[in-house]
Amino acid sequence: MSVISSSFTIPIDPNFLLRKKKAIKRTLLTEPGLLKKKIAILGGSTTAEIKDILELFLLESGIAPEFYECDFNQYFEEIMFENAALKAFAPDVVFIHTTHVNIRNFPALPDSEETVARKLQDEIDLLEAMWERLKAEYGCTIIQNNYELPFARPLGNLDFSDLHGKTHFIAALNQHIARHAQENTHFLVHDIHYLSSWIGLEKWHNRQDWYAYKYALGLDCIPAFAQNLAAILKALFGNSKKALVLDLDNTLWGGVIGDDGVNQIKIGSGSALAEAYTDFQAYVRDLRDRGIILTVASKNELQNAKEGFAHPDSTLRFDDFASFQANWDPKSASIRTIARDVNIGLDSMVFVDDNPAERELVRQQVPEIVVPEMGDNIVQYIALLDKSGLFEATRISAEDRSRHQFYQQNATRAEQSSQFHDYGQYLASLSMHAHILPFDTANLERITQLINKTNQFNLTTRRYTQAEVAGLIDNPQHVALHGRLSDKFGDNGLITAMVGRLAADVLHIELWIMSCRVLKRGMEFAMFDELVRRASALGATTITGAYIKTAKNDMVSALYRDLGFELAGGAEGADSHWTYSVRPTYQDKNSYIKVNHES
Amino acid sequence: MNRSALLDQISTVIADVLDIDKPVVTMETAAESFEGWDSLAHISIVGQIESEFGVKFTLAELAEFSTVGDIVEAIERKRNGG
Repeated sequence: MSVISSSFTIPIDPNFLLRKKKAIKRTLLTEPGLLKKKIAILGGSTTAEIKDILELFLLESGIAPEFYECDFNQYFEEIMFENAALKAFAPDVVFIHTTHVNIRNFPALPDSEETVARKLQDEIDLLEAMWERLKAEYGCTIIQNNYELPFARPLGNLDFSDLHGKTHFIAALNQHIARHAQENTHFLVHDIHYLSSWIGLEKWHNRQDWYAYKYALGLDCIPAFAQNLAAILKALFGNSKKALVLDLDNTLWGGVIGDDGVNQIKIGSGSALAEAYTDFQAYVRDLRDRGIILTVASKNELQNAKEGFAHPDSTLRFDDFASFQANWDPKSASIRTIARDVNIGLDSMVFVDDNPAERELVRQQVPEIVVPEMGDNIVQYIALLDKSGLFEATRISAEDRSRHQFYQQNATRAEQSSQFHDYGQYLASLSMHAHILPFDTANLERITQLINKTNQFNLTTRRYTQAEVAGLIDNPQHVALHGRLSDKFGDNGLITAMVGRLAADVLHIELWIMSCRVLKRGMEFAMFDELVRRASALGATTITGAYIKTAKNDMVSALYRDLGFELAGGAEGADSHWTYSVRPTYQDKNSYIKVNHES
Repeated sequence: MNRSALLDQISTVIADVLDIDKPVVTMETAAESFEGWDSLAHISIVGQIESEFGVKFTLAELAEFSTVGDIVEAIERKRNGG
């Protein structure tokens, strides 16, 4: 393992990051293809070390942040007053680092009930004024800490229940912050209320670091803080992990099923060990329910491996897995098969195995995959994954919640496709229906999510904020389309989007993405047909497009050539520009999907 | 541990934090005397010396550190149970 990858192995070693941050940064900056993002850190206490360590976590995931940092405790003034510097910086994200030291209107004991209520409202008004101003002036994503529990409780246990208690007051404020996040998709909460409790308030409220340097949290808590914050930013910029690759023996159950037999493996409620494995299975199933793809890479006979999930106490079932590799090949080979099966990049996967030798081999042979240092004690497994932030999401959409069904249906489709000799025959047998419609408010969230997490079928890897996507709705200068696809096995949901910008009689394709769930179904032809139809109606005679090469989008490097575009600049397979003349005799390219253009 | 070993260990910490080659450090070396040893780096260096030697400086001590010698003496005092 290189020094760099080992410094980020989960669980992270906070002290190593703090000590070696400069050397780590120097090495990370040499990585090619970093995604540039502008982050404004507006603090109510010192933020220097937070910025430095946050930068490491972002660089490690391929994001090169440019920072704007305000003067000490100037967050409110920077937001509320004319701020040419911040305006010129044009942040992608504003992070407001406030903590309980920034609460201005804590109740005092003599306060009447009305006074306490007014103080709460005053505090809420200050927050809302900032949120409104940021939205109006900058239109960017806002991340703000909620409030952690206070350092001291002068009222003792009553601090929780008495109206004058700081603890009580903070709970009310946090509830308001949660509601604001529920109602505003561009506002995300960094949950330090949980994080500080998890780390331990005694360690978090390091008074020496407060008095000496004005840090509102202990310096040694900053790596965990930065990791937790980076998780949100990575989710925002499409760098969260999407799939779990799981070992079986001594990972999802205790014991070795090939030796012990299905009746002897430890799962269920028969023993302390069995209960711990059952809880881990339940946690993994919770991940599945929120959209994480589950897969298996196990060294086992397939029959034995499957049998484990037929155990009456197994929470997970065989069909919870989108790809199931049980064989005697090296796990690196199984992992590559899984990546092909479910059509996701190796760098979107997390490998969980109790065996240190397997973990090390996989790290060496598949350097892109994340391999947490799980250790050999099942008791630690949930916490290790749960605190890693690997699977962070900014929203859980309806698509996420039903994702596992798509993959189950995909397995059925794959089974069927092997019965056809001719791929066209297979596509025809799917009875596919598509709805291709302009961007609309109802689908705003899903479109934004898809744009920002799609890496493979993505011609330009241009990312859009929700506000930018909203600006494309009913915009006469743009053709912005999204598409849904269903077939006889089920509905795949909203899986593709494209945006063309009209300038005189040329329509330039700025964005074209499609979910990997529906590759090789001909949906790109249906989308192009619709784009041509709408472009012609607007008077366009030429369509242009660009392919911007990344480490992940090779699969579409020849898309424009396949559609009949001509190369206008660059070279095929590299960054290139393409042009297409729209003829009145245009013939639809899609022949297998029945398309509905009306809502 | 004698002073020269202690100074050597402090030099390693400074090298790690500032990402420089191990500097020559004496009792008289002024804090913030190297390129990159600014007030922010000072916080990191002091914090890393604390974890390296397993000691915690008091708020009063932190305010008094103006040379490496001040830090060395504070470590020695703590080690001798002072």
